[in-house]
Amino acid sequence: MEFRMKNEPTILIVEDDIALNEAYMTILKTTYSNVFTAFNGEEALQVADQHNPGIIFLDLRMPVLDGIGFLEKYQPKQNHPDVCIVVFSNYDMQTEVDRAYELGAERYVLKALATPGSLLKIVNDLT
Amino acid sequence: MSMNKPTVQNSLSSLQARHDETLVELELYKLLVDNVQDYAIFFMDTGGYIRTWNKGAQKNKGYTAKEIVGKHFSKFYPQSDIDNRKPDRELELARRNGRVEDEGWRLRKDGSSFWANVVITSLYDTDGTLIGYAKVTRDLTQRKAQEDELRKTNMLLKKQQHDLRLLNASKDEFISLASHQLRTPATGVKQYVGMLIEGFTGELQPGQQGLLEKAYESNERQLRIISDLLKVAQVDAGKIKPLKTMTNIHELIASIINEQHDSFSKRHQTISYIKPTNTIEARVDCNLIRMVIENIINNASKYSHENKAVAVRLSETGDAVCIEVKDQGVGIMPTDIPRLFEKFSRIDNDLSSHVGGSGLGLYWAKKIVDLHNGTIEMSSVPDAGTTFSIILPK
Repeated sequence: MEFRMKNEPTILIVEDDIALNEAYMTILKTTYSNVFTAFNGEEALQVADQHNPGIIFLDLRMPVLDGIGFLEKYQPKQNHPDVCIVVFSNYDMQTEVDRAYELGAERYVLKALATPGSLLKIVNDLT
Repeated sequence: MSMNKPTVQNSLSSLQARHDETLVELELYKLLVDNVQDYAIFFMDTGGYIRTWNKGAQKNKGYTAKEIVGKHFSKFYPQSDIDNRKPDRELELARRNGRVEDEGWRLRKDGSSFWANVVITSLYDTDGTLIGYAKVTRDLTQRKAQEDELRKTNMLLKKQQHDLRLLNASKDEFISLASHQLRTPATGVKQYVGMLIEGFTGELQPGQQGLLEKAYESNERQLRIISDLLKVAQVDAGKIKPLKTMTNIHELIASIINEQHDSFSKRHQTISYIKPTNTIEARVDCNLIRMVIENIINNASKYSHENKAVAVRLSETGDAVCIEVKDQGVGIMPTDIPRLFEKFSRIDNDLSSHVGGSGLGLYWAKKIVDLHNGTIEMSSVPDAGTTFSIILPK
């Protein structure tokens, strides 16, 4: 049974670029305290298992296990229906986006268009 | 006028006259055939033995009349043809069909071969008996050589075309890959500079905000160029497939113009829109066409000085819609017009150094309009303004 405080979400950032990973962490930590990161899908599964995030920002192109691979193993629709998955990618390939939605992603954001403020706004809107 | 009485004298002289006429005709024919140099023309008897020989035949095959008359015509065939009974089969076909035509290798006296076009015609006398064959041969070696050359060149060109296509595809892939990779660090800069500008580290000192905003804007420009490169690589690779739906074009334009108000007022420019009186719809991919119209309107604003106006007009004909964007901008020189829709073409004018652009927008816009089977037309007067018209079939 997942326990999540309504106004204090647990957020997981999955991003393989170190600079971006840190940037997103810094931005979200200004407002939220339960923020975790992973650098690929495999790590993300472990961290998600440990911390039960309510919101996952998921990059698609990553080494070891990519975003789609993560979704296939994590199975949000069947196993984690309360989790909100935001696909956060720089590759706007329609096929990938469609597949992500199929697997349970709820939103898609192009990283190159997201400002620090907009990132916070997304979390705010979801909680 | 007295009629000539039929006398023996008269019959004899008319016979003589006809005889002389015939002789003259025969002489003429002999002269004709003997002297033709471009064709070997000779007579073979029913067995295939050569009975006459002309200059063309001598030139063609090298034998003199003395050397060849009385010999069998199979002498001109390569051994492989003789082994296959080709000469006999040719005569058979000539007898059966009246004539036979063939192209193939034939042998000269010196053993060399030439590519020949050969026609063998059966000849009959007045009571229908076969008396022999007329053979006409033309040396086509030169023509064959030219044809072979053409065929080789053709194959080479096809291969080059294929290689170029592969090269083009790998170019598109490279641009795509490089652009995606460039996006990541540029996105990183956007976050860090963005954090400073948005006050994540507290208030900035007076000079800092301005500098950071310039850095941010430069980086945004970089991201736009990367985005343009990706769009162009996609459309060049044929990966764009418009999803056409019936769209209310008026609503589309109205929505675009609505979004443009802010950037227009920043430049103290106005944008006006002449609405149609009736509903105008067309089957278009609204996302793509939206971007095309935005591109044209952005250009109209960018390439006009402040305090100028842009006018947008939507109209229709029986089977097409026309979206016209008219500006009072710097205009385009006639000499620059051919390059307008080319990739990476940026024209030097009063404002081009201020305008940030990748030189890809119009190239992409034209490709999208092409995919809709439409056209983009334009006319311009330097220093007065430019009008772009996007015409799309309904």
